[in-house]
Amino acid sequence: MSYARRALAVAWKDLAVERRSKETLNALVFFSLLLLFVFQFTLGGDRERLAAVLPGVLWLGFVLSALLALGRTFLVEREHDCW
Amino acid sequence: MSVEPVVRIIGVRKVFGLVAVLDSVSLDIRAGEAVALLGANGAGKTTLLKILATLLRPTRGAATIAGHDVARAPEAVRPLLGVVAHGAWVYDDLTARENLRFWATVGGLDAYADDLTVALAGVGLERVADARVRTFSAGMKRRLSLARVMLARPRVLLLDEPFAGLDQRARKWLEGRLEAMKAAGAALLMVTHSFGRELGIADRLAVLAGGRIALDTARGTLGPDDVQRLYAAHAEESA
Repeated sequence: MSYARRALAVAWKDLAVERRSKETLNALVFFSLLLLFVFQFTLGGDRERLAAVLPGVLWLGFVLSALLALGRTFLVEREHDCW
Repeated sequence: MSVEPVVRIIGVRKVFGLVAVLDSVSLDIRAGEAVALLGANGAGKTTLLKILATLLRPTRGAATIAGHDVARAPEAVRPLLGVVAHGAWVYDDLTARENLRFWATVGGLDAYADDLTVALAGVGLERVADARVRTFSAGMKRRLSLARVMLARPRVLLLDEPFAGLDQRARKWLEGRLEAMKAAGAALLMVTHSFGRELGIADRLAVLAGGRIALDTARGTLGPDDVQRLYAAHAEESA
């Protein structure tokens, strides 16, 4: 039994659970909207300034959302006493 | 019943910070033998199970399963073990069949669709095999947990309060399944607080108190009152 097959099984399990419960997806949608709201206030309406910082803001959004999603992925395993 | 113990615990000590939860615990369990481990809250029963389940390393001493050291060779030990803990350790948003398939893959078993069906039928869940576990009662989840364990045909079964939260019918059913696994040669270590009928499957009683095995005796014809008296005498003496 290869390590890859086990890793695939874990990935499949996480995706199947998320597809059915949508718990993390819902949280991520609201978190993303909140981020947009906060950045809008912080950066204002200056288009040139917005264009300059947009790539950084986008990546910041990805990283923060990924951290939130990752934390929630571990939650169920922690409830199962895995570590 | 073979002579060589399948489970050997030799002078195990486990310290958390400055507190020694286990202090020189020694216990042997042979194939086809069931040992009930009794003890007060915080006596270290679950810690001992976690050490055997390769989830914790002992501070000192050693524990072996079929000759493999649980701390040094956990990869060799895990396929020999089945663990039924407080929680059912199943995923609510997967179906019963999907849960079994997932655990079989992660556990490195070559389980085919027929094997999963047989395992589910063995615990009376074949009719709800494709229903989500979220819709199951506590007893049904415990059955599924047992199906997961039975699928692997473990040589050693570790049970932490296996009868907790089950009604009389489910208890009787579980008792029958555990007896069958024992008859098939599995060694059972069962942590319990109860002195009731669940002790019926135990061949030996061990009392954990003061970080040590304060009593290790054959159950023989001891009734619940006798067990309670023995437990009180040894647990209080050592605490």
